[in-house]
Amino acid sequence: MIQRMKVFFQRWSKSIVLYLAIMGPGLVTAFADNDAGGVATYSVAAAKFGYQILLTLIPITAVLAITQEIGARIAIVTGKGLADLIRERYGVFVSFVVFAIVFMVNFGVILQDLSGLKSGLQLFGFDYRIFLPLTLVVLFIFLVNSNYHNTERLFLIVMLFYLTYLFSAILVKPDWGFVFKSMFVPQGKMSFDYLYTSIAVLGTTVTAWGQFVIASSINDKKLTPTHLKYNRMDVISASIISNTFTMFMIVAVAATLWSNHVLITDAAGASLAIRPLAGDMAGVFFGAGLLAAGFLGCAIVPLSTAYAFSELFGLTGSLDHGFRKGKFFYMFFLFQVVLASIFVMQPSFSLFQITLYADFFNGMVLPLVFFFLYKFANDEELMGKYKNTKIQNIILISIAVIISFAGLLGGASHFLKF
Amino acid sequence: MLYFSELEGKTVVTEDKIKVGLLNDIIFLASDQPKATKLVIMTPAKTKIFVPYEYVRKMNSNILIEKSFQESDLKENELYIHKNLLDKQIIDIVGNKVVRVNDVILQERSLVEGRELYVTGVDIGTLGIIRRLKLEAVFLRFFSIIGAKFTSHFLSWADIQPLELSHGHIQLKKAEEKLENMRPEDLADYLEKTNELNIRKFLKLLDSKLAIKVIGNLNINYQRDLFQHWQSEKGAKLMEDIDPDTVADILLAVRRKKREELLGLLSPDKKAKLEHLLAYSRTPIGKRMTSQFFTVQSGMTVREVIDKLKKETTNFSFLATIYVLNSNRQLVGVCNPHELLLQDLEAPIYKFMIQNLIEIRLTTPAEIAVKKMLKYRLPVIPVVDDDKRLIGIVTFDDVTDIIQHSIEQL
Repeated sequence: MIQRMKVFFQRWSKSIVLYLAIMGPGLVTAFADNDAGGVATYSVAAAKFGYQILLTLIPITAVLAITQEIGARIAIVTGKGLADLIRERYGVFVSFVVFAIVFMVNFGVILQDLSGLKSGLQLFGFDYRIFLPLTLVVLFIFLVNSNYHNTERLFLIVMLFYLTYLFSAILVKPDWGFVFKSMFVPQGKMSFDYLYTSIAVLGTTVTAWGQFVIASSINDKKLTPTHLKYNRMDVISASIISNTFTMFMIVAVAATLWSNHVLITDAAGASLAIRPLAGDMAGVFFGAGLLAAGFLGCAIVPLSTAYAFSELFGLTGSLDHGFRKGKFFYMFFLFQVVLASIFVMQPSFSLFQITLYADFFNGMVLPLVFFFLYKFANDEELMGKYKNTKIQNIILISIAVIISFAGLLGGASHFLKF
Repeated sequence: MLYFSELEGKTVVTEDKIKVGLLNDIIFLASDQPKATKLVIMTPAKTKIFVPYEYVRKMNSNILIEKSFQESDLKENELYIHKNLLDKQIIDIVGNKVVRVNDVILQERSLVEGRELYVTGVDIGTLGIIRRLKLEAVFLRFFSIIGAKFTSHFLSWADIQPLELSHGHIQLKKAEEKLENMRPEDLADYLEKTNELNIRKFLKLLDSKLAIKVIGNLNINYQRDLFQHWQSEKGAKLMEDIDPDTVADILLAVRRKKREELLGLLSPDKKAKLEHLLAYSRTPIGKRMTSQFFTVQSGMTVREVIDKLKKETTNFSFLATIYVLNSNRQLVGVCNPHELLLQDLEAPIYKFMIQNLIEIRLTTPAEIAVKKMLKYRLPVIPVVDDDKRLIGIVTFDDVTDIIQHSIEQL
């Protein structure tokens, strides 16, 4: 009996160790989806609709987990990044177009994240004119000198800062029973505006660049099909954990701003507005979370463009190489961050317009990325026995259709207002 | 030199102008001698047919094939250029990602009978991507306006492990750091040189009659190395059946000790004939050689070549061939002025020059030089030293006395 328990225990501990070793790409990508742009969108949505927006969380978590799992599976089985496959299967012209689109969309997101970092610094009384460039220089030097493993560790440490959203949510003292109920039972009226906002929340959680990042970081981590099971656990648990933090964010804002009818336009506004309503600490925690989110976004989104660029055009692109070897990869990273900084350093720079543009384009580009996922995941030659199942295909296609339709509708209504 | 991207999608017609379809892909042998074996043609009915390369007559603005062509099937060890090579990632020997294949370079080699097409390397430069986007002409013009040069980056086929290709990897033979950038004009030469070992293996497989034919057609540098390597007995045995002119040329190229050994082993009949031929070599070709020749750098455009020609050749009495040198001043190609005038003004000369050269050395007997000129129908033949540097030319005018003499003897 003891012997049997021992074997059982050994098997489990082996699984857990393996899981911990493989965990990372999914977790990092899922958390990066809660970047500063994400925090802004969640805050604005929560201030406007309160607990009602919680209803979207479970479907969004499912969508995130399913799509990331497909992307991760393709990367593990083929040993290639998403952009690698696009170039090899669709040639130079398509690669060029995809790259142009990815660059534009990601640039919008980088602007969001840099502004988030800037506001985060301002909230804590740091002069952004000094500390923003300083943070970016430190980040760049770190990325160049560290390998994939250490970079992943840095990201995991930054993620601990997301715990501040939990503290923030506790401090605002919400009605937890009601929070729980709102996640399953629709609250209040459905409106067109609500639908659009839900899509925006989906668009900021499920991202095009997330697909490029997860595939490339899996290759950097050199996972093989024997790791598939653990990777699936990584992706699914990461989606659940990261969206749990999204819930805390929404709760913190809904319990304070929405209850008191305070409308905001960005995440820094939320942090400031929470203070008088729930105490300084809650606001400080919320601000610290924003700072971490901005930092994570500033690191990962430009990396995803750099990964895509080097894969599409066949250059050395990996965090494991030094600067000399991965020159283009790192220079490309730097180029984007510097270009975005030039915009964000303007004191009068407005985040609002950019958020709209970035979310809209991201939403529009998702169906394109899903098209490639669909094509690759169903390719017998590439995937063999790891091909998509029928159910996975149906879900993937319906998500793409819903997003394109809703994105078009929401986008049209917004652009017609101007 | 041809780029695959320039051929892809071209119309394939038969000699009597009947359209067969569009060129979809090219099939080649995944080996050290990557010979193109078949064209894949997409017919108007959207079916793909394989046509062996032997039926190809011409490959330029469109592709001309014999009207009596026959289809064939894919054989073992055959791969597609587009499907298996283009856009794929190249990795080095330790598995690092290096570059992607932006284009594939093909080279035609004219043999005494017929022609063959080989994959000689891959384009890994930015210019390759621009060419694929059909923007090369615009781009090069822009660069020549602002006075900048844009160089190509190539990788020779000799650096690629052909065995790995069938496993879906394009793997290099060395580490990334040791990789040298190949000049396009040297590709053909490099291909031949790096395959000495393989040719030796290959010759063993052939029946001796065919092997002798192959040896006779090889470049002189190459023949020299083979005979220098082989045991004298074996060499002498092969020499018995090779054309005496070629043998004389080889004997003059190998080391003196080897020459004497080989001569001693030959049959008396053959030996007498050869000694007669070798005696001519004492009359050096230098006496007949002119140093009035025109050379250009391989990277020069047609426009630059014409400008240079106008400036430098005003006092020339004769000009039949333009000689192309690489940056080491070695002779890498030739081009006749007619061909030059037919080309686009912005095209670099290495793109269309002839790369398999017929050349002689200072020690080559004049008789052999004449025979070569007659065999390959050359108005002029270049003389090179051991390092492939051009030292002079022998024109038809310089050897008329020999021809005269042999006619009188008839």
